[in-house]
Amino acid sequence: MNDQLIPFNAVEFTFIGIYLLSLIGIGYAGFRARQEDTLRDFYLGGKGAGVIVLLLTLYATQYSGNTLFGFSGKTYRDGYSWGVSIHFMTAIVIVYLSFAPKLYRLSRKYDFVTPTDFLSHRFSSPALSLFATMLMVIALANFTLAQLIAMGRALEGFNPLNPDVAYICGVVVLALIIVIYETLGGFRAVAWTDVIQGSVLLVSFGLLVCLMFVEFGSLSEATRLVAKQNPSLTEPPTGESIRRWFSYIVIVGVGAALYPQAIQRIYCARDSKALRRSLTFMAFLPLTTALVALIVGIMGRAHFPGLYEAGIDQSDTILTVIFRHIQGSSLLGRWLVVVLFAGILAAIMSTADSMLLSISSMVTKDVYRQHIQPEASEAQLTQLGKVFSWVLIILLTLLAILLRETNLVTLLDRKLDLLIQLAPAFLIGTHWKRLLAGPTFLGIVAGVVIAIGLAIGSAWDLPPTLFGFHPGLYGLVVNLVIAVGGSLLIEPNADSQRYESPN
Amino acid sequence: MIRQQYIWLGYLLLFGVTIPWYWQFFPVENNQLWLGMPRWAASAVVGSGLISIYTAWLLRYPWPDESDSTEELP
Repeated sequence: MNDQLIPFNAVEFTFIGIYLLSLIGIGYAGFRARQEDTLRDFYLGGKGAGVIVLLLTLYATQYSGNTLFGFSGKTYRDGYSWGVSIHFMTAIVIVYLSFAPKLYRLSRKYDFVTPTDFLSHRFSSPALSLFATMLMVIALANFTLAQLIAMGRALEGFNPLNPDVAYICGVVVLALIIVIYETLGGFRAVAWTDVIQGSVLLVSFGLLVCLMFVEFGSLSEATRLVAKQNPSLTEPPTGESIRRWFSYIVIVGVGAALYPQAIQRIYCARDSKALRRSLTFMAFLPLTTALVALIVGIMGRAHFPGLYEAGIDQSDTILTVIFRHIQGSSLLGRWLVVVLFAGILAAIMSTADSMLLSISSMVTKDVYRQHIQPEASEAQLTQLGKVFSWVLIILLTLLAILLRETNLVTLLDRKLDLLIQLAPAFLIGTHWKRLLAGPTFLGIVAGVVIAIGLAIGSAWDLPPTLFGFHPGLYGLVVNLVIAVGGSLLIEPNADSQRYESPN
Repeated sequence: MIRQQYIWLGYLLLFGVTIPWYWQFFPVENNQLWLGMPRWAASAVVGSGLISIYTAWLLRYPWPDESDSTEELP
């Protein structure tokens, strides 16, 4: 983060420590609550989650540390045009609406555990299943790494230790806590800790927006100050920025709905009524999160200008700067920042733990069982999944420490451009009988190649768009043409007929 | 249950109005604010709220398996 913050004292650290230890306690409760030694029980929590747990685990998983730091920083740089973030977070729920009801029914009938289970069932293509698994694992591993780095940076500023030591301690300690509760209680631990983390996150967003108005006055005043500094930050988007607005809605709305951990939360609902009700609440949450981050960014720009000027880009630290201001205001302010810090940890950890569990499930079930040891028992696979989680977290922790000073994570952060290539397989595949495995597989490969090629070609510039559109969208158009066009051109044969009435 | 095409037509209309593509054609003074924001931004936020309400309204309807457990596949 930076050295402007007032480090936490022993009492404040004790509060954070108790909060973190309570997560391990919940993990142990999840371990005690296990019903059987099966993959479904470990990765989806057996009979499934009710409305509250499902809502909060969806919420805590969907909103990461990036929502707090990234969105407020982006608003600081781009002004009100980052209001698109409210639209694309809402679009995720709409995309769920398009395929979740059917996918949920199939998952119940055929006992799906991973997203690849659906693809294998629907297309019966080992090549497609393996490629899709690799795509999802790569995207999630990259995102998990970004969360670990965010954990270290979050602790840097609040820790009285040397920043380098504080960063390493932050990454190691928080990663250790995550992997302990995750391997103890599996999905139950992750979902139950998400209930705590989601609640802390909701409270933090509420607290943050109240503090903004108390400390800095009205939004109108802030908007006028920003308009005076740089009128373009308050002007309506035009041309390329409007195309980018549209592109963001599609790439995030579709791509984030296809996060493997999000798909697994569709599977884990107790019944479709619980899923439907959770999504009803989810539809309103962008107004409590993305809108708050927008307000923070505008207030920050108005009252703390100078973080984004020629040769300077510290815009992502705006939240830290505001925290420093609140800390210095009073003793109450100091404690409010402690709660907000817990909210930041909640946002980061709840996203990281869900992704770790999801990767573990895909490697165990879709790679190891499918291609290496088909005879392995459920108990052996569950055990292997736990071991894999430890190996993965150790590797990612080392990478997070080594890559701290590079921007490689940002460079590799094309997860949505990759994940969106699975859209035809999931969104069309759940509804259209004629969609065939061959064209779908070729479409995904072509889409990935184009998305990565364009991203490399544009020198990984940020924002990563060409004429306003993300590279993944160009890939998706070609992907769709191949998948749908190919399926229409190829006459349905005996193989394709099989999809219409499988057992 | 509402017919699928009307559902998506509803979203198309809502996003068409909510995405601020047309505000560039109307000269707007920066000091004209709604809800503390420039008018175009406030309309995008309010529009987003309407999309959320529409989504919640659609989710009031039970899904097929809540009344019928039969299964069909693509």
